[in-house]
Amino acid sequence: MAKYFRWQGLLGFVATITFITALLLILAPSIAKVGLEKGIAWYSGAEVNIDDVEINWSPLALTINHLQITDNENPSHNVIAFDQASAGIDVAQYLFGHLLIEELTITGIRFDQERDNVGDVYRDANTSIADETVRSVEQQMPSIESQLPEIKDILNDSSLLTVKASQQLELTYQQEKQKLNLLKSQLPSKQALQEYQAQVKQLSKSKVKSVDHFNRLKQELEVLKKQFKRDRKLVKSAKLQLKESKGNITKAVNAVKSAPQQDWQQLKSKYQLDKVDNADFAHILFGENARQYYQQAESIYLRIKPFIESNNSETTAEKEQRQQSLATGRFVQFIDENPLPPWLVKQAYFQLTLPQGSFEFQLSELTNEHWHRNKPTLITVNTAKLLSGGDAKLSARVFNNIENITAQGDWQFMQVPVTDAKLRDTDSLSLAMASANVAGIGQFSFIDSKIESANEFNISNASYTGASTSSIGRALLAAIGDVEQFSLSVGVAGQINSPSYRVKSDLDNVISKAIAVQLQQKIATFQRKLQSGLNQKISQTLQMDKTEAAEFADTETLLNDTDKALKKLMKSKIADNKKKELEDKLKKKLGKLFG
Amino acid sequence: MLTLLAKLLKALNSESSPRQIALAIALAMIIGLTPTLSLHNLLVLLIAFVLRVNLSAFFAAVAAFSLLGLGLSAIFASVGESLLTHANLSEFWQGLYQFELLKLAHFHHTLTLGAFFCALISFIPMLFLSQYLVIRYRHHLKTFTERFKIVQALKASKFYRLYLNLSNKGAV
Repeated sequence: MAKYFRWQGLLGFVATITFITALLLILAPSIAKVGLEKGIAWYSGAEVNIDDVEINWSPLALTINHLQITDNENPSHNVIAFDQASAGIDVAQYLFGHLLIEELTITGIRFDQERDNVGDVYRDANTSIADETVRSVEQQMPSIESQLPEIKDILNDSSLLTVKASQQLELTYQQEKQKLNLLKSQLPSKQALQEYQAQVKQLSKSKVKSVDHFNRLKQELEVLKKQFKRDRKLVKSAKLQLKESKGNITKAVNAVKSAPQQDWQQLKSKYQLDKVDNADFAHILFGENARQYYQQAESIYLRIKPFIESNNSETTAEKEQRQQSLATGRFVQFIDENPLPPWLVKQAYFQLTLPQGSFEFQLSELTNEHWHRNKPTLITVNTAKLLSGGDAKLSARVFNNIENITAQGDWQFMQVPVTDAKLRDTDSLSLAMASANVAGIGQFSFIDSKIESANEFNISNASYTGASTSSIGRALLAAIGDVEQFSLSVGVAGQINSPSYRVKSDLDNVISKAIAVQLQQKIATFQRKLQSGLNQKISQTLQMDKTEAAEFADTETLLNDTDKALKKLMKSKIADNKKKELEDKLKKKLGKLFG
Repeated sequence: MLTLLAKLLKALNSESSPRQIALAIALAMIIGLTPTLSLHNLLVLLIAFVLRVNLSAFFAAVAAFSLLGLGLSAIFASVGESLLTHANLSEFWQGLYQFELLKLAHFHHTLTLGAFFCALISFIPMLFLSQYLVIRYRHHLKTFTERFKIVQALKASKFYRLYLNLSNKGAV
């Protein structure tokens, strides 16, 4: 045995292990400090500073003192800093490859705090706040006075239907008149008709002397009748043309008559005069603030998104993580009786100090892979003095089931004092809520990048300050000045990076009623002047229409008379009479011969 | 570092058998290639201490294989990933996963398993290769290298004196 084994080697083994363990124990805080600084800096892309790290070995607990993470968009400030964080770590689970923290406490969290020295920035922020495409509030506020154009300018506008229709009527009349004149020139004149009558009369008076004479008379009559037929055909087509021309002109006249009304409708729509009554004042006054609060929440979400995102869709951060796992390896988890995610904080307590107040966060089951234990992360946020006033509470439940992340929650606050809250600040109108007490309640749900939130606020004891250069703005200020209490409903729905907002309030009715009279007066005056101008514009055309209509009526009478005369001439039975006359004459002669 | 290198040379030239040096190198390969703070390395270290292997060669080889391990870690992690995620082996791993010892040894970690697997299959080839190389060195390379002026210069150096000093003391 001694040939193969040296039992004194056991002593060397123990000595070596003891040496390595002692080395680790001594260096562990420094290794942890450097590791944390480098690791967080790798993720955040900017300098990270930790004063020191303390490690308590039994039970294993890690304490980080004064951590600062540089804001890579503003290196003179920290994106986040805290005074102390302590975490109790389950050693057995850590040796099995799980980071299980029984209790995590972080105190003195601060955001956007100025640093003593400007921090190093290693790369740009990897979070991009989605481009917010919100319509400008200015577009929604119908500032009537600045929008209303000069009536003179409108009336000179050649694109007006009234102008176009008048021009069209004139053109139509000229075209139809030309066509009729052409036909009229081809019609038999009064003189020609009299000549026809004279010819017919002469033929009827002439005595039939013989069969040859009869045949000659008959031939002359046939020629005359053919002429009548030709003339009647012309009269007929002239009548048809007259009917068509009358139709075209009537259409053009009707277009001229209806044009002013159509122009008014179009102008109403163009200058949004029809929307004034239904103006969404709540959206105008509170929509921008709602958007700002939402954007703040969204920026926080985008920062924590890489940590809680599902593994299904591989993002850039995940690709980096995968590349890194190729170098450092990863733990592959299998089905376990007591499954655990790679990291889990069973209980966490944060204290966050902001200008708005001091917030206490309590979290349980904090992880990014909830499906292992089938337990959601529960978050409760409490504050006793929100804005130095009322109580507030938020509860949320987050669950990642591999396929998607769902978050649901509700919040409420009571009697929170609001001072000098700007509602609107434009060149023509500035409005601020000088003081008010606000109470609110709301719910939100977030499923697979889609958000839906309903929030109700009740504002009481409100007082306002403001100024306006327009009479309508002054009317709005006067109206809102009397409103001490109102409710406000804000809804957010849609994709998280481009949600739509729904802002409603009973304030709408109050303000609408108050300024409706003012607005209506202005619009009525504008409408009256414009209508008068438009009517004046068409009256000349319609006057012309009356004169020309009389002319058309004369033409119609003429055509009817000509037609009647020709008809009468065509109906004359000269040939039959002459034939009968000839027969009688023959009979008489034959009677004399045969006695 | 000079002392460690001197010890390695001394070990290679000592009366330690080529087999003992080769076993030390092969064992050192397991520790050097796999993550140092692993349970199986504790066992390998114990074996190295208890078996009559050349410890100087062992520690010198651990340092050399650790450097090699850093360069090959991505390959080892890929091997481990393939083994742990292979559909046909899932039941096998699932069964082993129920043992706390396996989890404690981090055999469900891609890099640890991949490196351990590669080190194990290289163990026997490395044993014979090391033995062959030590013999070759002793018979041919030593005489051949001693002809070079640079070696002669080295022999006149402080390092060589340290080496000789160690040899005279008969240190292992």
